[in-house]
Amino acid sequence: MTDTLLLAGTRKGLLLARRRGGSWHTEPLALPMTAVYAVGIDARRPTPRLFASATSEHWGPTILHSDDLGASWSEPDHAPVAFPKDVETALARVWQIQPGPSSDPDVMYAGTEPAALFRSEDGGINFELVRPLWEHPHRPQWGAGYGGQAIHTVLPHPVDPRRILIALSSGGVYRSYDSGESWAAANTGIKATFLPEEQRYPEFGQCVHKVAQDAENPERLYLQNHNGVYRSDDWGGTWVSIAQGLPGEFGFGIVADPHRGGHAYVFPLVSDYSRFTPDFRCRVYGTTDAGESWAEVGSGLPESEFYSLVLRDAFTADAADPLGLYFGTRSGELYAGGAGRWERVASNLPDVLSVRVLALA
Amino acid sequence: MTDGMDVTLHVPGALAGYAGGRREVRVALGAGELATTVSGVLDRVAAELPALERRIRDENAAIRRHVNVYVDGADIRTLSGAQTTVPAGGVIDVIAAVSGG
Repeated sequence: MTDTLLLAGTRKGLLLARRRGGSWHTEPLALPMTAVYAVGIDARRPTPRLFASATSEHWGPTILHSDDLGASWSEPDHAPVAFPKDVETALARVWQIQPGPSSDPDVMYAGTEPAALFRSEDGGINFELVRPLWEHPHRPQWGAGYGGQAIHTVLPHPVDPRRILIALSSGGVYRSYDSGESWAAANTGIKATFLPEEQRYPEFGQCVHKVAQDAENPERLYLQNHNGVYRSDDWGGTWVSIAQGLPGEFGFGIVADPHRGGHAYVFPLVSDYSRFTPDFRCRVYGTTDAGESWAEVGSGLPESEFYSLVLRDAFTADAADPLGLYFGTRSGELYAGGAGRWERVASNLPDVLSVRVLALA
Repeated sequence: MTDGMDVTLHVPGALAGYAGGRREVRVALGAGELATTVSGVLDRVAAELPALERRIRDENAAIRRHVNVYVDGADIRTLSGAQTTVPAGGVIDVIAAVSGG
């Protein structure tokens, strides 16, 4: 079994877990008393660079990075992500840390609350506001979900380095074909169930929870909505429901297999009015045909009395064969598994907010 | 930061690492200056210890919501906020507010 480094951002610190020889070992909680809403891994470097966004209730937000696989963490003296003075806005937290296209190995992106996109050209040490998105005429009408208003998804196009797609709650999906110079809403077909019936397909304003990129088709995306699961085959131009066959269409995270086209995974909840797993069973559902059908994945997860859930970034996949899936719960459990048997990596953690995984050589 | 006319910033233990391990930072006033403001003190801290200052104020120079600042024992929220006068020899305490879980 591949040796693995698992990063789990929690509401009160960062947990690193390492799998060696098939056994998991957890390290003492790093960055204590900070909410780690996002963890990121830039595997384009000879030694992968790890990232953690850490927000102290008292001392504010920052992004730290590690070039020694989590043995030490550092940050610049000046705030790595900050709004320019003229914007008169303050960063609340960073919700997403995403490597840029493979052709630009020093480009990193950060999605933030309030909803903004930042771009780094020095490998994620210093970021600058992407102004065209901030100045988009829709922005004053964007709303805020229960967790705040934030850009939580940043997806560089896998082939065309000029294209980038983001998603926010609430506002929906936006895409750029010119490296972020201009942006257009891309929500056709996504339902906003929280609006009156005749207004449920607006140009923007949907509460999109997460978007994932298909492994083989660069134009194919999967989307977990606030009620609804969707697929696009034209890079967000139109969306079709793929919720048929799921026991619940609400949820937060959606993950695509990084190597197998058509393979995607969700953690279904009943609905926005009942944010519990169906029958209170803890279950991951997967599709191998791009959402035409769904089935439970693996065994060994709690079968009853599971009252927790998985937040949007606390669910991820590795690049192994067979695929490994990983998720953390709001009740502080961390699981690893896939098609076989799930195992509990850690428990009694603070709420798990973000999970990313790295295969170690 | 220098001797002479200055004010003292007491740094909470949680932030000492951003002040070179110090719990006390001396901030010099300008030549002939008999007083400054909290904002003026933090501007000078920002120049020398930016990682400390950005944990006390956000990028708009607003003191963070859950940070309490006292000048000579008085909560600046009851005075003039960041424009509260700090006399030469004055002491600023930065203290984490009651919050979190």
